[in-house]
Formats: sequence, structure tokens, C-alpha cells
Amino acid sequence: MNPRAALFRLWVYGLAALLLVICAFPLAWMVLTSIKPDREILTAVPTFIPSELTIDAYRRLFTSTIFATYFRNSIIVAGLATLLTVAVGTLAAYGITRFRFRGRELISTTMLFTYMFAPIMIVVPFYILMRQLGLVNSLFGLVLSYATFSLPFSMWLLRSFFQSIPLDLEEAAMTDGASRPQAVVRVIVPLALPGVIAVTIFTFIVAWNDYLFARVLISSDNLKTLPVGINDIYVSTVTDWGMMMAAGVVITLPALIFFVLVQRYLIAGWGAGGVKG
Amino acid sequence: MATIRLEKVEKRFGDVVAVAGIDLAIADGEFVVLVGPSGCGKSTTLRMVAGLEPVSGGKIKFDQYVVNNLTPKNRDIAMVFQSYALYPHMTVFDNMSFGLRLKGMGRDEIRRRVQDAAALLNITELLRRKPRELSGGQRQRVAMGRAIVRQPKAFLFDEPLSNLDASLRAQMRVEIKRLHKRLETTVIYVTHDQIEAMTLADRIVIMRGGQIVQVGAPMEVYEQPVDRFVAGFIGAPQMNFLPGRVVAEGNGLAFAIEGGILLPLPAARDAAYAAWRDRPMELGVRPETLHVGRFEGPDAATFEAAIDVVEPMGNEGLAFFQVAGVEVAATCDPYLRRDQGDRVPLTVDMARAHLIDVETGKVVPSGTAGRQAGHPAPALAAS
Ligand SMILES: Nc1ncnc2c1ncn2[C@@H]1O[C@H](COP(=O)(O)OP(=O)(O)OP(=O)(O)O)[C@@H](O)[C@H]1O
Ligand SMILES: [Mg+2]
Repeated sequence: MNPRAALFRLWVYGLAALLLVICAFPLAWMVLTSIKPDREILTAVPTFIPSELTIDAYRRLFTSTIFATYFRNSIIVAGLATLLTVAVGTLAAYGITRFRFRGRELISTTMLFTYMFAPIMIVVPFYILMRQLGLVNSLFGLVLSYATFSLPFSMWLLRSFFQSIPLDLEEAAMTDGASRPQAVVRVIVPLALPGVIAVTIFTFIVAWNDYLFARVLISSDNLKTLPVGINDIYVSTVTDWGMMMAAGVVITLPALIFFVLVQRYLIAGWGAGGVKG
Repeated sequence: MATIRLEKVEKRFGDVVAVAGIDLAIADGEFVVLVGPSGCGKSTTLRMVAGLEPVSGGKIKFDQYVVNNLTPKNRDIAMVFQSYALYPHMTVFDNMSFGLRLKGMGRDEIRRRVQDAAALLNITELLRRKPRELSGGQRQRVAMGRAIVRQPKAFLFDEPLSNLDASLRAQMRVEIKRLHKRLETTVIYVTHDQIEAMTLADRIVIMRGGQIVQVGAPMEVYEQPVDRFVAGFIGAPQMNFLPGRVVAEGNGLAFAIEGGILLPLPAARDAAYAAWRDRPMELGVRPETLHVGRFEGPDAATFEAAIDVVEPMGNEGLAFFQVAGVEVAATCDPYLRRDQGDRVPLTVDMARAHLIDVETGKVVPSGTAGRQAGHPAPALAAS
């Protein structure tokens, strides 16, 4: 390697390392703070590596608050919203790519317009709608909100995946003795798997991280999801920074685990080879 | 195993009439080939039989049952697609067993059937591979295997060989024919390759513009085309069409090519052709019945023309001429060495020529019907 190239590499790696530090430092600080003894959290000279490790903050989190309930609510809401979005999004994308009907093009092209509105603009109308449906202050109402919010993008994404799957494959499945639903489940969805997974991740994260809708739609403490619940812990007590950081860690973990589990299915190149080429 | 019957079957896509009311009866175990130029409605017809496309009118019957409203799943047919349409996420074994698994067939039976079909098609060692790890010819075999294992009522092929190179295509053609001999299942085979049609078919169905122009055994449509379109479509190299008219000549009739060449017509056809005198007609002459050289024969007629080019093709040569403003191809000795512009004699076997009415494009029935099975063409003897 010549010196110029080496220098260039050094630059690139240096910048990458800098970015990594900027992104990772707050996370590392969160984890470290959650396992520090209290007296080390607010000091004039901060310690980076804790002098002793403790899980006290975690114990307080689960005993002095109803964090476990928030956690459960979040899992339920994000899980159901994801299932609903994937199910409806898949069917919708299939319909839009495989059938001709009045308004099909209009739907396809205007789907993404819904994202021109910031969530904050639709949250009040949404509240009114939910009140009329009697779904205010219920987890189901939240599930519907998140599905509504993530569906247009999911449909749009799945549509492009479905479009890339040759019609022949489905027709082959049907002449092979599959009903249309069987052809979709056994042939189309497996081939669109990377898209389905991307939609799953997207919806899960939207639902898991949402603060706005949960804040507006939920009032009972035992129905709150994590973002709202933790915010209320912060407001309602003398700020317990150790506990806050512990909560942060516990919130991050499921999303992280989920992502790691699912991302290996995102490998591209599945589709190649079935049809001549 | 089933007979397939199309009765006034029609398909419209909006204003486009893809299939314009066709009637066709296919016998059990018959191999029927649909041929025709691009866009003539072959695939659409096949897809209606498969149930992939609803009919706009008419009836499709399997045996005595009308299947118009049955989904493909319930028609029990197998289709081989031009693209092969193998499921990319499944191994060859899973591809082939897909239909059987859907039926809920037992594992042992599935294994046995897949093994049998794989052995038949020489793809046993490929069973664990994914489609992307196969060559074009291998994919083609797998696609056929997937159809065979189901033991369906009928096989539908839509240009299955068109993605293969010429030698592989010839090889697969033979294999398909062998498979059909062995399985004796009804086949509808779509192609626009007339050689495939000639070699594979029990009967050829020639389509054009959504209609059936002619149905017949390969040699029948070759020897007795009903019109100029079929005459030009079937047979390679293509039939020559010489413009001219029928005139009285001595006691009989002759065909006068524009520019003064006179070819006596067989006396047996006088009655049939008499009414067509002095109208614009064409004489359809296949290159294989038009020879460079001077030959004798019962209905041989000789004229002269200036040679344009010669294409040696191994066992034979093709010589091209300009006659009456049209290009004409004739068979010749592949070693024929002539300069461009040399005038050479050309002999036509008039008993195998066709008279075509320019106005309607129809072939005038000759009353003697070309060459019949078992009756070889009268040999032309060198003079
Ligand atoms: N889904 C469709 N929508 C509109 N028109 C169609 C559709 N499918 C076929 N057609 C039209 O119907 C006619 C017949 O098409 P078809 O595919 O049957 O032709 P083909 O004989 O199979 O031709 P090729 O040899 O090119 O495959 C064509 O004019 C085609 O444009
Ligand atoms: Mg076609």
C-alpha cells in the first residue's frame, strides 16, 4: 500500500472511531451509571469505571415502581401492533400488486403522503376518533394507533418486494395445487421475507419508542407503556439517576435482542435463480 | 388423463380480443401443439385451460365436465412455464414435491415418486440443490419433473424450450417426445417454433389473431395448408410465393409468372383451377420442391433465373434468386459454384405447388391433395 492510501485509511478509520465514540459514549455511560453505587453518581470528579458494582438501582426499579407493568404493556402493544401491521400490510401489498381495481394506482402513489403530517398534527384528531370508538385509555387503542401509523410505509415497502416476485411463481404454485392463500404463505411471503422483516423491525421500534400517542391516549397508570411510565417516574420522585439509567438499559435490551435475532434474515439475494436468468 | 374440449372459448382484455371464440377437441393422451406468431393468443388459450385466466365466453370441458369455474388447484393439470418458475427458496426435491405435499400425500410415496421422476429425467444428483445452483437445461428438467410427479390429467407447456440454446433444445425436444410416449398423458404445448410443432405434435393447431386457422397432423398442415399464412408459417426454409396468373396453355392450364415464365399445371388439377383463370394469384412453392438443375418428372416444369447467392448448409445448399421481383429460394448441390448473375435452370415439382388466391389468401383446393402418407413424392430424375 502506498503512503497516500495508508494516510487516507488512517483518516477514515479515525473518523469512524470518533463517530463510534460519540454514539456509544452515552450508552456506555448509561450502563455504567446503572451499576454504580449512588454516591458515585453525582460527584465533583466523575468516575468512569465504578469502584464497586451493584444492582441496587435495578432492584429499586422493579420494587418501588410498577416498571414491570409498563414493560409488559410495552411488549403487548409493540408485539400486537407488529403482528397487525405485518398481517394487514402483507395482504394489502399483495392486493395492490396482484389485482386490478379502481383507485389502485391512486392508493399506491398517495400511500406515503400520510407521512407528510407530523404525528403531533394527527394526535388530537386521533384522540377524538378513539374517544368516539371508546378506545381511549386502552392498550387496543394504542395497538391500532401504531398499526395505523406504520402501515402506509410498511405497505409501500412490501409492495416493492412483491412487485419483484415474478407472477409465474405464484401461478406455478396454483397449478401445482395450491389455493391462493397457500401460494401466498408458502411462496410469496418466504420470498418477500427480507421485506417482511424490515417491516417487523420498523413497526416494533415505532411502537416501542412512541411517547406521544401513549401520553395522549393513556391515562391509567397501570396501562402506561415504558416511555410514558419512565417519564412519570422521573417527574414524580426525587430524581433517582441510578434507577433512571437502569430503566434505560432495560428498555434498550429487548429492542437490541430483537434486532440481533431478526437481522440475520435480512440477507439479500434469496430470490435469485428460481426464474430463468 | 382426460379429453379437453374448448367450445367457442373467448378472451377479451378490455378492448383487446386475445382469443376470438375457438373450438378445439383434444383426445385423451393426444399431444397437441399450438403455434402461431407472437401475440396470437396461444398463451392466453393455455392459461384459460389452466384456470389462471377466466374465460370471457364459451366453455372449457375436461372429459364431460365444464371446468370454467374451477380454480387451477381443482383442475388437476400441471403447467411448465417458459421461465420454469422454480421456487427459489426450495431445493429441487422440495420443488418437485410441493404439489404432493399440498395434497397431504405420505412421505414414502412422495419420496418414491420424486425419485422415479428424477431418475426418468436424469436429475437424481441434483435433488438437494437450490434452483440458482442449476444450469438452464437442468432447471428445465426440474420444471418438467415437478409436473410429472403429480400425475396430472394433462400437461400444459408454454414455450418450455425457448430459453435453451439450439442443441439443448433439440435434445429436450426428443426427451419430451419420449416422455409423452411413456406417460401417455394429454399434452397442450405452446410454441412459436414450427420445428418443435412439426416434430412433437400429434396434431398442430395454427393460430393467428386469436383464431384457429388450421388444425391437422404435422404432415397434413405441411402438405395441405389452407391459406398463405399457414403455408408460409409451417416449413423451413419458408415457402416461396411467385406472383402471376393461371392461363390456358395448349389443352390444359399453366401458371404464368409475371415476366413471362410459363409453368404447366398438372392436368389432374385442370377442373379445380379452371375457375381461377386470369385473376391475380400466387404459386406457393417450397424450396425443397424447387431444384437448381434440369430434371424430368411427371409434373416437372423448368424455367431459368439469375442466381443471387448460394448458402451451403452441409447436406444441401440453398440458392437464392430474384424472380418477378420476389426472392425465391431453391435447393441445390451444396458444392454448386456459380457467380452472381449466372442464369441457371430451375425445376419445380408442380404436383406439390399450391395455388393461392391473392385476394383472400386462401389456397385453392387442388382436388389432388399434394403428397399422401405412404406415397413418396415422385422422384425427379436428372435429364
Ligand atoms: N393481461 C393482459 N392484459 C391485456 N392484454 C393482454 C394480456 N395478456 C395478453 N394480452 C394480449 O392478448 C393477446 C394474446 O396474447 P398471448 O400472450 O396469448 O400471445 P402469445 O400467442 O402467447 O404470444 P407469444 O408468442 O409472444 O407468447 C396479445 O395481443 C396480448 O397483448
Ligand atoms: Mg406466449
